[in-house]
Amino acid sequence: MSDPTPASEPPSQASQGTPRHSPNVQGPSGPRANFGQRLLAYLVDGLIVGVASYLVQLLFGDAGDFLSVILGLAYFVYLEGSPAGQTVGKKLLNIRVVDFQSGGPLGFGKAAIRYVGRIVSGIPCALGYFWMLWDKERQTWHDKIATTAVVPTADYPVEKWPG
Amino acid sequence: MGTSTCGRADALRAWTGSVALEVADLRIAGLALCAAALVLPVMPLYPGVTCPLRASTGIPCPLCGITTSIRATMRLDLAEAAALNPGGLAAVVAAAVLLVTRRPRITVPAAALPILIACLWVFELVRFDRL
Repeated sequence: MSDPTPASEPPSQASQGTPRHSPNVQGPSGPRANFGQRLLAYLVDGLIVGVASYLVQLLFGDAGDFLSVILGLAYFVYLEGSPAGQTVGKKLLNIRVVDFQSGGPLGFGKAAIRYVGRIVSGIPCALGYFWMLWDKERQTWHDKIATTAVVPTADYPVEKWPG
Repeated sequence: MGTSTCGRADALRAWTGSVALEVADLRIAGLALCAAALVLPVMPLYPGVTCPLRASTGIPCPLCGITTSIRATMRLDLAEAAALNPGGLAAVVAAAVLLVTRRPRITVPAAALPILIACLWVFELVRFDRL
Protein backbone atom coordinates (compact mmCIF):
# COMPACT_ATOMS: atom_id res chain seq x y z
CA MET A 1 0.00 0.00 0.00
CA SER A 2 2.46 2.61 1.16
CA ASP A 3 6.08 3.02 0.36
CA PRO A 4 8.04 0.62 2.56
CA THR A 5 11.32 2.50 2.21
CA PRO A 6 12.61 3.97 5.47
CA ALA A 7 12.10 7.71 5.89
CA SER A 8 15.82 8.03 6.34
CA GLU A 9 16.43 6.32 3.00
CA PRO A 10 13.79 7.73 0.68
CA PRO A 11 13.15 6.23 -2.73
CA SER A 12 15.17 7.40 -5.71
CA GLN A 13 16.20 10.78 -4.31
CA ALA A 14 18.28 9.86 -1.30
CA SER A 15 19.90 13.24 -0.92
CA GLN A 16 17.03 15.54 -1.90
CA GLY A 17 16.82 18.38 0.54
CA THR A 18 20.18 17.48 2.02
CA PRO A 19 22.60 20.37 1.93
CA ARG A 20 25.91 19.65 0.28
CA HIS A 21 27.98 22.56 1.55
CA SER A 22 30.33 20.50 3.68
CA PRO A 23 30.35 17.16 5.47
CA ASN A 24 30.11 18.98 8.81
CA VAL A 25 26.73 20.51 7.96
CA GLN A 26 23.85 18.37 9.13
CA GLY A 27 20.69 18.09 7.04
CA PRO A 28 17.76 15.70 6.98
CA SER A 29 18.39 12.13 5.91
CA GLY A 30 15.60 12.29 3.33
CA PRO A 31 12.90 14.49 1.75
CA ARG A 32 10.80 16.39 4.26
CA ALA A 33 7.72 18.60 4.07
CA ASN A 34 8.65 22.23 4.51
CA PHE A 35 7.42 24.56 7.24
CA GLY A 36 5.00 26.40 4.97
CA GLN A 37 3.26 23.19 3.87
CA ARG A 38 2.93 22.02 7.45
CA LEU A 39 1.67 25.40 8.67
CA LEU A 40 -1.01 25.58 5.97
CA ALA A 41 -2.08 21.97 6.58
CA TYR A 42 -2.32 22.77 10.29
CA LEU A 43 -4.50 25.81 9.58
CA VAL A 44 -6.83 23.78 7.33
CA ASP A 45 -7.16 21.01 9.91
CA GLY A 46 -7.62 23.56 12.67
CA LEU A 47 -10.43 25.18 10.71
CA ILE A 48 -12.18 21.83 10.12
CA VAL A 49 -11.88 20.63 13.72
CA GLY A 50 -12.65 24.12 15.06
CA VAL A 51 -15.88 24.50 13.09
CA ALA A 52 -16.96 20.93 13.92
CA SER A 53 -16.20 21.52 17.62
CA TYR A 54 -18.19 24.75 17.58
CA LEU A 55 -21.20 22.94 16.11
CA VAL A 56 -20.88 20.11 18.63
CA GLN A 57 -20.80 22.62 21.49
CA LEU A 58 -23.88 24.37 20.11
CA LEU A 59 -25.72 21.06 19.92
CA PHE A 60 -24.63 19.45 23.17
CA GLY A 61 -23.92 22.36 25.53
CA ASP A 62 -21.56 21.49 28.40
CA ALA A 63 -21.04 17.92 27.19
CA GLY A 64 -19.83 19.47 23.94
CA ASP A 65 -16.42 20.30 25.48
CA PHE A 66 -15.67 16.65 26.10
CA LEU A 67 -17.08 15.64 22.72
CA SER A 68 -14.89 18.27 21.02
CA VAL A 69 -11.77 16.70 22.50
CA ILE A 70 -12.92 13.27 21.32
CA LEU A 71 -13.67 14.72 17.90
CA GLY A 72 -10.16 16.16 17.53
CA LEU A 73 -8.58 12.95 18.78
CA ALA A 74 -10.65 10.82 16.40
CA TYR A 75 -9.94 13.08 13.41
CA PHE A 76 -6.16 13.06 13.80
CA VAL A 77 -5.74 9.48 15.01
CA TYR A 78 -7.97 7.95 12.32
CA LEU A 79 -6.62 9.95 9.39
CA GLU A 80 -2.93 9.99 10.38
CA GLY A 81 -3.03 6.37 11.54
CA SER A 82 -4.60 5.17 8.29
CA PRO A 83 -2.29 3.83 5.57
CA ALA A 84 -2.26 7.17 3.72
CA GLY A 85 -1.21 9.10 6.85
CA GLN A 86 -3.00 12.22 5.66
CA THR A 87 -5.45 14.56 7.31
CA VAL A 88 -7.52 16.73 4.96
CA GLY A 89 -4.99 19.55 5.35
CA LYS A 90 -2.05 17.28 4.59
CA LYS A 91 -3.88 15.83 1.58
CA LEU A 92 -4.46 19.31 0.19
CA LEU A 93 -0.80 20.20 0.70
CA ASN A 94 0.46 16.87 -0.73
CA ILE A 95 2.27 15.76 2.39
CA ARG A 96 1.83 12.78 4.70
CA VAL A 97 3.02 11.40 8.03
CA VAL A 98 5.14 8.26 7.96
CA ASP A 99 6.93 6.14 10.51
CA PHE A 100 10.47 7.50 10.76
CA GLN A 101 12.10 4.05 10.77
CA SER A 102 10.06 2.19 8.17
CA GLY A 103 8.82 5.04 5.95
CA GLY A 104 5.41 3.35 6.01
CA PRO A 105 2.14 3.96 7.84
CA LEU A 106 2.41 4.72 11.55
CA GLY A 107 -0.72 2.88 12.67
CA PHE A 108 -3.33 4.08 15.13
CA GLY A 109 -1.18 3.54 18.24
CA LYS A 110 1.59 5.86 17.10
CA ALA A 111 -0.98 8.28 15.72
CA ALA A 112 -2.52 8.48 19.22
CA ILE A 113 0.92 9.06 20.77
CA ARG A 114 1.55 11.76 18.15
CA TYR A 115 -1.73 13.46 19.05
CA VAL A 116 -0.73 13.59 22.73
CA GLY A 117 2.67 14.86 21.59
CA ARG A 118 0.95 17.79 19.86
CA ILE A 119 -0.21 18.97 23.27
CA VAL A 120 3.37 18.82 24.53
CA SER A 121 4.56 20.76 21.45
CA GLY A 122 2.00 23.45 22.13
CA ILE A 123 2.71 23.97 25.85
CA PRO A 124 5.74 26.30 25.60
CA CYS A 125 4.06 28.77 23.19
CA ALA A 126 4.24 26.28 20.31
CA LEU A 127 8.02 25.99 20.58
CA GLY A 128 7.68 22.27 19.82
CA TYR A 129 6.15 23.13 16.44
CA PHE A 130 8.86 25.67 15.56
CA TRP A 131 11.51 23.11 16.51
CA MET A 132 11.43 21.66 12.98
CA LEU A 133 12.99 24.87 11.65
CA TRP A 134 16.40 23.92 12.98
CA ASP A 135 16.06 20.21 13.71
CA LYS A 136 18.39 18.07 11.64
CA GLU A 137 15.55 15.73 10.62
CA ARG A 138 12.98 18.56 10.37
CA GLN A 139 10.96 16.97 13.18
CA THR A 140 8.64 18.70 15.62
CA TRP A 141 8.52 17.48 19.20
CA HIS A 142 5.45 15.35 18.46
CA ASP A 143 7.32 13.80 15.53
CA LYS A 144 10.16 12.92 17.88
CA ILE A 145 7.85 11.57 20.59
CA ALA A 146 6.05 9.30 18.11
CA THR A 147 9.15 8.68 15.90
CA THR A 148 7.45 9.99 12.78
CA ALA A 149 8.34 12.32 9.92
CA VAL A 150 6.23 14.43 7.59
CA VAL A 151 7.23 13.89 3.98
CA PRO A 152 6.09 15.01 0.52
CA THR A 153 3.80 12.60 -1.33
CA ALA A 154 5.93 13.17 -4.43
CA ASP A 155 8.57 11.03 -2.74
CA TYR A 156 6.26 8.84 -0.66
CA PRO A 157 3.22 8.29 -2.90
CA VAL A 158 -0.25 7.58 -1.54
CA GLU A 159 -2.31 5.02 -3.42
CA LYS A 160 -5.65 5.55 -1.75
CA TRP A 161 -6.98 8.03 0.80
CA PRO A 162 -7.42 7.43 3.66
CA GLY A 163 -6.35 3.91 2.76
CA MET B 1 31.42 0.10 24.97
CA GLY B 2 32.08 0.86 21.31
CA THR B 3 28.47 1.83 20.84
CA SER B 4 28.62 4.08 23.88
CA THR B 5 31.75 5.82 22.59
CA CYS B 6 30.14 6.18 19.18
CA GLY B 7 26.98 7.59 20.81
CA ARG B 8 29.02 10.16 22.73
CA ALA B 9 30.89 11.13 19.57
CA ASP B 10 27.57 11.56 17.73
CA ALA B 11 26.19 13.68 20.57
CA LEU B 12 29.33 15.85 20.57
CA ARG B 13 29.13 16.23 16.79
CA ALA B 14 25.47 17.23 17.11
CA TRP B 15 26.52 20.17 19.31
CA THR B 16 29.73 21.17 17.57
CA GLY B 17 28.57 20.84 13.97
CA SER B 18 26.42 23.15 11.90
CA VAL B 19 22.76 22.98 10.96
CA ALA B 20 21.46 23.97 7.54
CA LEU B 21 18.37 26.16 7.85
CA GLU B 22 16.06 26.51 4.85
CA VAL B 23 15.57 30.22 4.25
CA ALA B 24 12.12 29.66 2.71
CA ASP B 25 10.98 27.92 5.91
CA LEU B 26 12.39 30.64 8.15
CA ARG B 27 10.85 33.34 5.96
CA ILE B 28 7.40 31.77 6.28
CA ALA B 29 7.81 31.30 10.04
CA GLY B 30 8.89 34.93 10.44
CA LEU B 31 6.01 36.22 8.33
CA ALA B 32 3.56 33.98 10.20
CA LEU B 33 4.75 35.37 13.55
CA CYS B 34 4.53 38.99 12.31
CA ALA B 35 1.11 38.38 10.71
CA ALA B 36 -0.20 36.72 13.89
CA ALA B 37 1.04 39.65 16.00
CA LEU B 38 -0.68 42.14 13.69
CA VAL B 39 -3.89 40.28 12.87
CA LEU B 40 -4.83 38.42 16.06
CA PRO B 41 -5.32 41.46 18.31
CA VAL B 42 -7.74 43.14 15.88
CA MET B 43 -9.83 40.02 15.38
CA PRO B 44 -13.28 40.20 16.95
CA LEU B 45 -13.66 38.17 20.16
CA TYR B 46 -9.88 37.72 20.36
CA PRO B 47 -9.22 36.34 23.85
CA GLY B 48 -5.45 36.96 23.81
CA VAL B 49 -2.64 34.46 23.55
CA THR B 50 -2.24 32.67 26.85
CA CYS B 51 0.90 30.65 27.46
CA PRO B 52 -0.33 27.19 28.50
CA LEU B 53 2.82 26.57 30.54
CA ARG B 54 2.51 29.83 32.50
CA ALA B 55 -1.26 29.45 32.86
CA SER B 56 -0.95 25.96 34.33
CA THR B 57 2.29 26.22 36.33
CA GLY B 58 3.09 29.92 36.71
CA ILE B 59 6.43 29.31 35.00
CA PRO B 60 6.92 31.33 31.80
CA CYS B 61 8.22 29.67 28.64
CA PRO B 62 11.06 31.08 26.48
CA LEU B 63 8.57 32.61 24.04
CA CYS B 64 6.29 34.29 26.59
CA GLY B 65 5.51 37.84 25.52
CA ILE B 66 6.82 37.34 22.00
CA THR B 67 3.53 38.24 20.28
CA THR B 68 3.30 41.52 22.22
CA SER B 69 7.02 42.10 21.64
CA ILE B 70 6.58 41.71 17.87
CA ARG B 71 3.61 44.11 17.95
CA ALA B 72 5.75 46.64 19.84
CA THR B 73 8.58 46.23 17.31
CA MET B 74 6.20 46.76 14.41
CA ARG B 75 5.13 50.11 15.85
CA LEU B 76 8.82 50.88 16.52
CA ASP B 77 8.50 50.80 20.30
CA LEU B 78 11.81 49.00 20.57
CA ALA B 79 12.35 49.57 24.29
CA GLU B 80 9.05 47.91 25.18
CA ALA B 81 9.75 45.10 22.70
CA ALA B 82 13.15 44.38 24.28
CA ALA B 83 11.68 44.56 27.78
CA LEU B 84 8.93 42.05 26.96
CA ASN B 85 10.97 39.50 25.02
CA PRO B 86 14.13 40.35 23.03
CA GLY B 87 13.26 37.38 20.81
CA GLY B 88 10.37 39.37 19.30
CA LEU B 89 12.67 42.18 18.29
CA ALA B 90 15.18 39.68 16.87
CA ALA B 91 12.42 37.80 15.02
CA VAL B 92 11.23 40.92 13.19
CA VAL B 93 14.78 41.93 12.28
CA ALA B 94 15.53 38.37 11.12
CA ALA B 95 12.27 38.20 9.11
CA ALA B 96 13.19 41.48 7.37
CA VAL B 97 16.70 40.23 6.57
CA LEU B 98 15.36 36.89 5.31
CA LEU B 99 12.90 38.65 3.01
CA VAL B 100 15.73 40.27 1.07
CA THR B 101 18.30 37.49 1.16
CA ARG B 102 18.60 35.34 -1.94
CA ARG B 103 20.46 32.42 -0.40
CA PRO B 104 18.34 29.24 -0.31
CA ARG B 105 19.77 28.15 3.03
CA ILE B 106 22.01 29.37 5.77
CA THR B 107 24.15 27.40 8.15
CA VAL B 108 24.43 28.16 11.83
CA PRO B 109 26.31 26.42 14.66
CA ALA B 110 24.13 23.59 16.00
CA ALA B 111 24.46 24.88 19.56
CA ALA B 112 23.38 28.45 18.71
CA LEU B 113 19.63 28.00 18.77
CA PRO B 114 19.36 25.89 21.95
CA ILE B 115 21.61 28.48 23.64
CA LEU B 116 19.40 31.32 22.34
CA ILE B 117 16.29 29.58 23.70
CA ALA B 118 18.02 29.00 27.04
CA CYS B 119 18.94 32.72 27.22
CA LEU B 120 15.36 33.76 26.40
CA TRP B 121 14.07 31.39 29.05
CA VAL B 122 16.39 32.86 31.71
CA PHE B 123 15.27 36.35 30.62
CA GLU B 124 11.59 35.43 31.01
CA LEU B 125 12.18 33.68 34.35
CA VAL B 126 13.82 36.88 35.64
CA ARG B 127 11.06 39.06 34.16
CA PHE B 128 8.40 37.03 35.96
CA ASP B 129 10.46 36.84 39.17
CA ARG B 130 10.80 33.08 38.99
CA LEU B 131 14.56 32.96 39.51
